[in-house]
Amino acid sequence: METFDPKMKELLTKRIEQRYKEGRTTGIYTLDGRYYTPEEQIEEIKTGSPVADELLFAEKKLMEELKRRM
Amino acid sequence: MPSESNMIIVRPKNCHYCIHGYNALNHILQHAQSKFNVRDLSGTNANQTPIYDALDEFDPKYFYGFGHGLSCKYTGDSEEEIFSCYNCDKLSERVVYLLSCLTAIGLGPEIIKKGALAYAGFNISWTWIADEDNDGNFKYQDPYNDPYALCFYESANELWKAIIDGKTFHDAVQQSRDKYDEWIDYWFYDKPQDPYSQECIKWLAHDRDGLISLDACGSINDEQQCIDYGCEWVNDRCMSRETQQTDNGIDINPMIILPIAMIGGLAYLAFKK
Repeated sequence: METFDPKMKELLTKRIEQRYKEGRTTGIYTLDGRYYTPEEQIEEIKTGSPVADELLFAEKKLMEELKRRM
Repeated sequence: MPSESNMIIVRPKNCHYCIHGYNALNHILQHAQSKFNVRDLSGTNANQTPIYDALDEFDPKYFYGFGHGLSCKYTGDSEEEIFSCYNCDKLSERVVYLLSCLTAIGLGPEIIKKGALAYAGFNISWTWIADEDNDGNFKYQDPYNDPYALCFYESANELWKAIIDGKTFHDAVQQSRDKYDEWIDYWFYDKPQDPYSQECIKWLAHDRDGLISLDACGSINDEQQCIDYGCEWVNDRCMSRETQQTDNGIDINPMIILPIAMIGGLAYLAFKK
């Protein structure tokens, strides 16, 4: 899993938190049998767990997809 | 020798959040039944013993398994192991697709080492979102009826749909990636006002880029079989379309060879001067 420099990590975290505040995040299901509510996703990012890396990695993918279509 | 016309579809139902995959693969099952002899191993039959028995008796060339996974393990209805890195010989000589988490990290390469013709799976935790009722349960049991879950399962199923339709393995993988892209476009251009449009785009891109395919092109020695299988026959050797294999057996992408050759050429000219 990709690791991010502190600046990028901060940017990605802010983006996720912003959408959470606006009520635009939702629970996610994974095929390793887990479910994360929006609150749990925010918590994972705060604690810096391996799940947080995947959440930030996905957020970077979103940024790239949006940029590609702008 | 596995039968070209036989296919197994594995659909666990009782594992955590598996009802969506169980119903999603039912759509593929319907499509497959018109073209293949299909054995549907669903619910409690989506466990190791019934699957091993079916692989032995039915001997299908094609195997599509949904379920939970880890880097070295694929599990079934009871969430117990079906295949692991140390136990996947039964997939030898077959075309395998695992809609599961993380198996491309360890299990997928092992499946190829054990002699499978091809493997596709994910090196990430395959993730989806779904509409929920007030109790936090799936609002729709079939993800094809769910405004959010549909895009994820349809994109994932697209690979196997293409196989059923006779596409080569490489084309089938690409068709699935294209379907993820098609859905990303839908959320970006057609539904940007949906509160969860960006969440859909995010996880679709994540799943698309986590789709990994491995094949056994290098082990095929017959030209016709090589071409039939979607590989390329170059200099009397069968190669994957995505890479060209060097004589020492290392896969090198042509896009990497070109700049190296240019640098080498310039260095040679500078040396001559």
